[in-house]
Amino acid sequence: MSRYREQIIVGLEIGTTKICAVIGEVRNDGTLQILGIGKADSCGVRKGEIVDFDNASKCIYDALNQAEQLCDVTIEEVFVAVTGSHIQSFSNRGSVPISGEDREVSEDDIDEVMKNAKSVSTPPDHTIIHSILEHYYIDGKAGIKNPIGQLGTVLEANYHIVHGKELRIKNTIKCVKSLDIKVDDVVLSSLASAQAILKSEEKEQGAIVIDIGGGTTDYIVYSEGAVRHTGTFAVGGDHVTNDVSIGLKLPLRQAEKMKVEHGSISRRSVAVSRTIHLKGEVGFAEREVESSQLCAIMRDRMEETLQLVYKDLKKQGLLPFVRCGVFLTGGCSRTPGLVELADEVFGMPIHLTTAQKSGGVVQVYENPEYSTAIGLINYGKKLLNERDLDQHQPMGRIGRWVFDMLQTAKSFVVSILF
Amino acid sequence: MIEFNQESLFARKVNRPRQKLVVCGVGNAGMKVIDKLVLSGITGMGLVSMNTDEMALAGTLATTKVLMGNHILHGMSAGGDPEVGNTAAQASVAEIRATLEGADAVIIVAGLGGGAGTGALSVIASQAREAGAAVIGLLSLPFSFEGKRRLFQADQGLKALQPLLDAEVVFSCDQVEPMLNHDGLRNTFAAVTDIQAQCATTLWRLLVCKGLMNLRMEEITNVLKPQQHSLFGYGESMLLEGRMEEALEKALASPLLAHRIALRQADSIILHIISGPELVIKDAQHMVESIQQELGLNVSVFTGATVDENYKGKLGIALLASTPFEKLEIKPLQVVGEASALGNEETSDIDESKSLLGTDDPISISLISAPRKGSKKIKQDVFRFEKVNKGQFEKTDPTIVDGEDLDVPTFLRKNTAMK
Repeated sequence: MSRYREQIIVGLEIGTTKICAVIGEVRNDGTLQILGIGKADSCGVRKGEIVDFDNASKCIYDALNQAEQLCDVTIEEVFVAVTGSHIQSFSNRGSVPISGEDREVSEDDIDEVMKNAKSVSTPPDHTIIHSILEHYYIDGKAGIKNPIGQLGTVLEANYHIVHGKELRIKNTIKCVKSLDIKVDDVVLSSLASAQAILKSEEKEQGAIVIDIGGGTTDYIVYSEGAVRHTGTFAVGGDHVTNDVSIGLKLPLRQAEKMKVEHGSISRRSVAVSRTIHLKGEVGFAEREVESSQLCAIMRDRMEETLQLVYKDLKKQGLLPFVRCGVFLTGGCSRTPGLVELADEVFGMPIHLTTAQKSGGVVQVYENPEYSTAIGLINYGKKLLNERDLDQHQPMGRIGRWVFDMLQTAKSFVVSILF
Repeated sequence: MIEFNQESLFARKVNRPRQKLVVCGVGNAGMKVIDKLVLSGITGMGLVSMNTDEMALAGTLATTKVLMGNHILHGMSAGGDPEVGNTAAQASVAEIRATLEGADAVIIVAGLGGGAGTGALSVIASQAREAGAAVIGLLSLPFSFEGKRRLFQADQGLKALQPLLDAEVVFSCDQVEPMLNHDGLRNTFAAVTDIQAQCATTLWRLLVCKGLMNLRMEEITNVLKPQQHSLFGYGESMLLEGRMEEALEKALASPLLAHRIALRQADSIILHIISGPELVIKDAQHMVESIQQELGLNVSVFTGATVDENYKGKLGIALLASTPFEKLEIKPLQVVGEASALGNEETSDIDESKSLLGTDDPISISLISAPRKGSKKIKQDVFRFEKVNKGQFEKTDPTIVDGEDLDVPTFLRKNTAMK
C-alpha cells in the first residue's frame, strides 16, 4: 500500500556552533532522497537556545538560503529540532478498564488510555513537546504493541512525555517564523538523531544514542522498539573549548583551533607529550604548549560528560535493556579517542555513527553534524505519512481499522476458496 | 502477637479502636501551625489554638480556641515574658483541661522563646498527662539573631517541659536557614511553620489515619525520645518512574537531617509513606530496603504507610528519628554559657563535658562534622586557581547537575594535576 506523495521535507537544526538545513524529497516509492544542504556558522545561540534573536535569524536565513540555492527548491515549511537544559522527560502510565461487554480491547479503549496517560501535570510554564507511546499492558502483561482485539480486564499504556519551557520553545519557532517560513513541528533533537541513526532492529534490541554537539549533549534510549528515556545536559564542545582556553590561557579562537587540530582524549595522548608550536598572530604572542596538558583537559571534560549520561541511565535502570550498545554522533563525536573513552565508561559496544545512507548527496550522510537534520526529515516523513492516512480516510483511525478488517476478511475468504 | 515489655501507655484504653489526637498550638508560632493544618484540609483531629492575646486568637482559623488568663491579662499579650504566660495558663487550667479531655495523644506545637508559648507549655503538658494522653512536643527554638534573651528563655522553657514529654521533635530555626538563602524574613518563619505542620501531619497519619500500616504510640515514643537531637525530613515526588528515589532524596536533603550525618547515627527511624491508591506494600518494602542501604543495616525502620485519594500520582516520604547528642560528633556551641550571664547560676558549675555534649542544650545545635581522622593537608603540587573561572559561560544560565556547576572546567573541579 503506497500512499506516499512526492513531498519535500526540510529539517532545520539550530545548533550552538552551526545551523544545518537539509532538504529531502520523499519519492513515490517511499524512499528518501537528500537534495541539498545548507550550513551556516551559528551566532546568538548558547547551550542550544537562542539568546540573540537578530543574529540567530540571520544565520538561519543563510543556512536555508544556501540549501534552497543548491537544489532549486523554495522552502515553505520546516521541521525544527529543539534542545536545551529546560527540557525534561518522564514516563507516565495510563490505565482504563476495558469497557466492552466481551472484554475485547476496542479503538475507544485505546483512545481512552491515551487520554489518560497524556493527562499529566507538568510545571505551569512547561508545554508538552512529545508524548510517545512506549507500549501497552493488558492485565499487567507487558510489551504489547497492538492490543486491539485482545481480551482482558484492564488496559494500560506507557507514554514517554517530553516537556520543556513553553516560552523558550516558542522563541525558536518565532525566530524561524520571522523569516516567513512555517514551522510544521518541533522535534526533540535526540529523537530526531535516533531516527536517522538507528535501524528498527537496533531500536528493538535496545540502543543508546548520544549526540554530543556544540552546546548540549542529548541522549535517547530505545528498547523493544520504543523510546524509554531521553535527556539533555547543557554541556558540549563549547565547554571543551572553554576549558582549554582557561587551562592553557589561550584566547577562545586559538583554543578551538588547538582542540580541532591537536586534540585527542585517548589515554596514550595524555601520557605521551609533545610540544605544539603556536604561531603568533596580531594580539597573540608565539607560544609553545604541551599536548598532554591539552589532552588531559579535554579528557576530563569528555569523561565527565559521558559519566553524567551513564549515571542517569543507571539511575533509570535502563542499562540492562541495551544490547546493541552506544551510538555516538554529533560534531564532538569526531574527537580522536572518544570510542576508547566511551568504552571505559559504558563497558558496552560503542559505535561511531552517522546517518544511515539513503539516496542523494552522499557526503551529507557521512558527516555526523548532519545526523539530527536528516533525522528530522525521517521524522517528518513518518508524521506526514500518518497525517496522509488520516486524510485519505475521513473516518481516521477507525476507518483504517475497518479497512484492515475487510482486508483480513478478504484474504480469509480467498484462502478458503483456494 | 507482638507484646511490648514496657508499660503500655494505653493499657487502660485497649478497646478503643481509633486514637483521638489533639494538636495544641500555643502562642503565635503554634497558632500559625494550626492555621496551616486547618487550611490543608485535615479533619479528624482536634485542632486547638491557645494564646493570651485576644487579638491574635481572633485571627486564627482553629475550631477550638482557649484564651488563657483572661481575667489577669484582659486579653493582652504576655509580652514575651514566660512568667506571665505561665501564670495565665495556670489561671485557665480548667479550660485547657476541657479541650484535652478524652484525647489519647496530644501534640503540643509552639515556638519557644516568647511569652505565651514558653510559659504555658508545661502547664498544658501536665494537664494532658493528667487527662491520660501521651504528650508529643513539636517545638522550635528561636533564630540566633533573635537575641540571647529569647534563646535563654527558650532553653529554660524546654528544660521545664522535657520531663513531661513522651516524645519530642525539637529543632532550632537556625537549622532551617540554609534552605532559604535570600528569602524574606516572612518566608523564613513560614518555612519553620511548614516543617512543623508537615511533622504534625505525619504524626497524625501515623497514629490516626486509616492506612496500610499504622504505628503505635509506643513505637513513636521509642524512636522520638525526649532530650535527644531530633531529625525530620519530608520529600514528595510526582514522577512516575523513580519517584521513590526522588522523594527519598528530597527527604534526606532536609536541613533538619543535617546532610545525613546525624541520621546515620540513629538506631531506629520512623518511615512514613503516603501515596494514592496505587501504593502497594511492595513499594514500602522496597523503600525500607533502600533506606537501609543508605543508612546501614543496623538501623531498625518502623514503617507506616497511608493511602490517600488526594495523593493520587504523588508520593510523600517522611523520616523521623532522634539521636543522642553523645553519639553525634557534634558540639553544641556554647551560647548557653554566655546566656547564663543573664542570671542562671546553675550552668556555671555544671560539669564541663556534660554541658558540651549534654542533653540539656539543644539551643545552639550547629552541626559541625568532626574533622576526619587522618585527613592530611593536600600537598600543593597541583596548581589551583583562586577564582572560579567560567570563561565564556560567565554570563549564561548556569548548568547545575547534582550541585556541581558544569560550566566550571572539569579539571578545575577535579583538581587534576598538570605537569
